Amino acid sequence: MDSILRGLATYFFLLLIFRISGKRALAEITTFDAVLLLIISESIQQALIDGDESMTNSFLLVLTLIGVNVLMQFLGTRSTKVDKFLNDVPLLLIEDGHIHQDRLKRVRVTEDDILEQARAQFGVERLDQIKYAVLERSGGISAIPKYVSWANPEVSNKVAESPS
Amino acid sequence: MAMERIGDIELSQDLDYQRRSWIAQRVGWIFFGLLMVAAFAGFLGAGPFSAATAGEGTPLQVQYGRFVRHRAPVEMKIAVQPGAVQGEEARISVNREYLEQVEIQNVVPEPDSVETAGDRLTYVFKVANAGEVNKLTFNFMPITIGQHEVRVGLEGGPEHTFKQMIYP
Repeated sequence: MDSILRGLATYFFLLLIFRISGKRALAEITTFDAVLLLIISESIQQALIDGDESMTNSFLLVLTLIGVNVLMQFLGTRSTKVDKFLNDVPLLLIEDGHIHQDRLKRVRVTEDDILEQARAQFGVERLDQIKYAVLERSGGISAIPKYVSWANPEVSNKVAESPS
Repeated sequence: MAMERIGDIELSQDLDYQRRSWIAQRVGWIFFGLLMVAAFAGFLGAGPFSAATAGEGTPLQVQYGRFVRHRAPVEMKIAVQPGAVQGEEARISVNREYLEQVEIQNVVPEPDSVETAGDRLTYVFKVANAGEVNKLTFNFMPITIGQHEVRVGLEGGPEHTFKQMIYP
């Protein structure tokens, strides 16, 4: 029973701390984040096993962690509230070309971050070429440039009209 | 999740929820900040507010930690003041109830003998010179959690009672 309680306490503590840290906490893992992650797992490991190095204990812990995660995911598909608590909601950072500076500040994202993603995804050159930028639930950023045909009907018409 | 159309984009954005979650995040940061301050101060383990002495100014002084942690080493330092011991033995008793909550790692100096009597164990130490301060150290490892009462006494002298909180 101890193992299960320890597993549950650890799961919900980590869930809480990562939800409080915000979406961007570990969205893009830098070298330092990877090191941090290792240290976190190392520190939590001691509390998790509590000196009991038996196979039964480790299997029970894995079972508890995976089990509660599956259960939470299942509850998330049943209830919007649980889903929002677990996964958060997406947020528009650039809306129809307008940059929501207040939101950028809140979620600790810079214009550079958005541009970087837009460059990587669509080869976008400038911020004003981005129509929408979304901070996804995973913490990643998706950018939709203005010149993508489906984002801008005018462009798609021009493409259709242009002689091949 | 309900999709909402914002301009040309379909997104399950929920600004109300977002705002509430930002507030919750703030509250969370403040809470964890306070927790860190409490930890620094010693409310969650070793630190200035945890270090305490029972029986100051009496023949038996006990230095202990008010807040200790499960499976983390704990020290209890006992000082027997000059003249408190008659003869060559210092007899220090600790309540059995507390000793069942901890594992005794070692006692320095090693007691000459240990006697059991009812609800307490009495550690008998040889004293070479009763005219000076005799210091003893008990090293424990808490194996349960919760608040426990500790009673430490000197035979022929005072007995001190204090509480120790063991965090998980």
